[in-house]
Amino acid sequence: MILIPAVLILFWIVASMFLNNKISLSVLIYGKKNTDYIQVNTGKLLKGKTINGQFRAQDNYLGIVILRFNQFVKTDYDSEDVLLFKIREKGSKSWQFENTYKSGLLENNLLFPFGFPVFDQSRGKIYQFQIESLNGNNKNAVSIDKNNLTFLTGYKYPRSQILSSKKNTIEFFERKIITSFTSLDFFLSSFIYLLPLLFYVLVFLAYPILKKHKSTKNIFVAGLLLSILIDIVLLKEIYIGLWIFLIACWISCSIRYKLESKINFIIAFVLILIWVLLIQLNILDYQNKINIWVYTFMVIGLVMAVLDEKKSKK
Amino acid sequence: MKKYFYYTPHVLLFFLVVIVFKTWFLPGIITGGDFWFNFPSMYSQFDMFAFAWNWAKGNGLGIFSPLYQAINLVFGAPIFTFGSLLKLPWEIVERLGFFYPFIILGLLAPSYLFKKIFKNNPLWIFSIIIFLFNTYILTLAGGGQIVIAISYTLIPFIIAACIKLAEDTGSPVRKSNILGALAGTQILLDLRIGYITFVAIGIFYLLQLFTRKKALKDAFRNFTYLLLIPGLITLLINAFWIFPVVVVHENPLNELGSAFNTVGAVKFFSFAKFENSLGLLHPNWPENIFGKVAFMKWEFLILPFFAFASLLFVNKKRRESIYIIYFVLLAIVGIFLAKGANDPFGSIYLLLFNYLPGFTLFRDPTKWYMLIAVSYSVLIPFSLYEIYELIKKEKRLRSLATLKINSIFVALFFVYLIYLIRPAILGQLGGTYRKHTLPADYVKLEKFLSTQDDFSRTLWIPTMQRFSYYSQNHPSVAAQDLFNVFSEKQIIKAIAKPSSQDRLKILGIKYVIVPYDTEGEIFLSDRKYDEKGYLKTISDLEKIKYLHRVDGFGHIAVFRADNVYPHFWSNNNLQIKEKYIHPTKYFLEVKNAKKGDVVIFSESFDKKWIAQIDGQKIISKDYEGLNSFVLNKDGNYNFLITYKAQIYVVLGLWISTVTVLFLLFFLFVKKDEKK
Repeated sequence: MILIPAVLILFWIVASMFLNNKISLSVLIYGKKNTDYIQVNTGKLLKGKTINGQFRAQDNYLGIVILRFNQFVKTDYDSEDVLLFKIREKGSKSWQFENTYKSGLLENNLLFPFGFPVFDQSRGKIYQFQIESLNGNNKNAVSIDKNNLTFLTGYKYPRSQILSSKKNTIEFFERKIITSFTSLDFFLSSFIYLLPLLFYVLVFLAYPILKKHKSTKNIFVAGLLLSILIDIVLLKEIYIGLWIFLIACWISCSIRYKLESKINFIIAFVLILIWVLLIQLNILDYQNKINIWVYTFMVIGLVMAVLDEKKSKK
Repeated sequence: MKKYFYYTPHVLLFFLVVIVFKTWFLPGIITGGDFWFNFPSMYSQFDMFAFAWNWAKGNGLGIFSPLYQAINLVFGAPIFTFGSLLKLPWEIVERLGFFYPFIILGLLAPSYLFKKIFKNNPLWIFSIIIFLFNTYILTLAGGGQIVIAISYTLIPFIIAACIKLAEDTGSPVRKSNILGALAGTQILLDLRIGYITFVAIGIFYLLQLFTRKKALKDAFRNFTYLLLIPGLITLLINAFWIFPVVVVHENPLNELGSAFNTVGAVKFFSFAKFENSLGLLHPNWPENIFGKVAFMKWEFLILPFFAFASLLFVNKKRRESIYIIYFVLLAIVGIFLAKGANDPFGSIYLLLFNYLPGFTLFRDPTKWYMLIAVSYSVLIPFSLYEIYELIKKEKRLRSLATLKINSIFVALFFVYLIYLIRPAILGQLGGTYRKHTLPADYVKLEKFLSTQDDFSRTLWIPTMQRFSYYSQNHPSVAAQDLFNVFSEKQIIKAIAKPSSQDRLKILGIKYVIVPYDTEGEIFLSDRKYDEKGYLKTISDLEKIKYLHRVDGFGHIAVFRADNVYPHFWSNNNLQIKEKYIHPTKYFLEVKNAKKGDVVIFSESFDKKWIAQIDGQKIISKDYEGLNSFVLNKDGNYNFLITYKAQIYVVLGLWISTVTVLFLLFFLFVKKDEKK
């Protein structure tokens, strides 16, 4: 009874660490600390404007600064803005690293990692960075949400350092597990490897309880819809594991409570209506997520309609 | 009074066609995007025969082009009929051969399909409006892709044929033949659209298989008549280009260049986002500037609302229910594929592109909009009528019916559809919807080149203009492609090199031309016409010593390069007399040759070119990218130079002709016998 969940939990942890394609195994990611700050202009990052930041490195081998940008409408390649990223240790007269990035790169990567040559002995030192728009205008400029700021720093440990001694290896993985699983983004990214455990729990534990209590229909359906709404509104990234889990729950719910295919289309229509309203208000942040859910509900609704049609012909 | 109302849709449609396509009914040249102008002197190059070698492609140096055979035939047939035979001017030829058939078929096809499914639904006009006046097809036709647009109009006919086949219990062979003839014609018009239709038929087959009562019993019947026989007929009709492809075993897509088959190209061409494809909104609407994606217009999202609402009205007892599901399925597939590599799940499109046979044809995913347009043209009028009837019959809504709210609702929807395409109504679209006049300078150049009997090529810097003259005797070469550079500055740098003079000489490029960019399509800076670029190119060319300016062409700058080589020449200045038989066959007379002399044939090197000398076959060898044949003895020669793959084209043509004759006999003669 305990063995299977234990194996599945182990699978989740190991697979998340080794198969995560977002963060390399040798990279430790830390969140923002209270002493860190970022100066951001409100609104779009127009030509000549800058984002300035300062932080204290929490580890050695500093190599990445990650910032979340707002959803934006990508222009064609030639008209894209160019962002100039610079970084230096506080007190240094000149910038120690500079690089330019086309703004189009951010389109599918709003949590954007600015990489630079690793600062080996960085722990405890203060670093300053600057992002400047070189061609930003009202059509192509990107922006950062000042009120919902995501600012992370990454430390890329060399392989030789990790494997140099047993102690170092254990220490590194200890820190890796702690820094990873205390990050919401990592946790949600690793959801796909959590699915076997979740389905196990659902099938063998939750389903028998739900079967006994038929009155749970409304609570379960409402709960699921609320979860989907939370996914749309609060989670800006697309987490494939979470998406599969919610779909699986919705399909199970549709089968269990014999929901009509029409419901899926009605939900899709409501989402389209919300979407239209958001476009009117020039709020683009949720567009991608709504797209996905509209399409998902349409496909589920259609499959159910086909199955209904098959049943009616029998 | 009722009688007058009966004709209201017809009148509305008439006015809509006249307003949107007004330029096509007024005097003047229709040109735009991919649809270029042809001088009457160019008609002779379009014929009803297919050739394995296309002298105009391969940047004017020729290429083995099985795919272009079909395109040439499709373009050639109307030009040959109306131009060469009836001697009509181009303005009439293009209208009769391309633009009017598109309008006529575009009006007939959706209403035919709609009436096939919903026999008593009076809102068929909406089907036509959605099918023929959506932003996708208007953009496509405006961009000059008129043959693709004609191919699109065949989709509803083909789906209607499938429905007929599935519903009728009688002998299906005749219907299957009709389906095959339609699919074969569509593939002839455009392979990609044929592929899309094949997907639509495949979905229809699978849905029938899954939902029918006697699914397994019908599976074989449906497979035979829906897929096997039509598929076979399609192959046979197109044998004249498919047969050479199979025998020669060269990927026909290679001739289109690497830009056609890389994942990067797909990502670049995925202009439409999910919201665009869902709203049946072409990403470039209305400006239709390549790569310039317009902002999403919220009003288009009402369209899917009504399209998918159709499932709310599905009554399982009604015969149409399965068709509603089918068109929703088509829409869902179309919406997903039309957005290409964009979210959600864009990687699936890339997987299909990499691994699904034939999917490499779709580096431009917007072609899948066709499935959306066809399905919306069926689903939306269905939903509208159901809502109309609901208001009329539902007791709780009866008070609304007495106020004629249902009729007002339908009328408002009509206004809404017109509102969606307001740039077309207001005459704001460019391309083929704009009036064009033939610049006098191009007429002068055409007269000058067409009266020169000796073979020579023209090099256009940076590229050809839509009024450029070219012929088999004077193929045109784009400098951008020849030097594999993009900017005018780089081209000038390349052409100024001493080695370029020899290259031009070998290729027979006698005239270097800077086009007069009347349409503002070539010399662009930030997508706008920049005269500075044009003037700078001319002044830079004037500095090149081996080029001499030829006056008399107004804004077109023509430069001559002297002593260029003819179509056939030798390394030893042999006297060569050439007799052209057709593009894959030449007869040569060579005097006083010596053993080891080389005859060079100024077309792209291809080892399928063969010289037949005294019963011996000499295979072409590469001579700086051209074909060459080594003479193996002293003396005079009379011999043929032929292109080997042509034999497969001829065999294929026989198969295609017999198939078409058989179909005509079966469809018309046999029908009369039945009567």
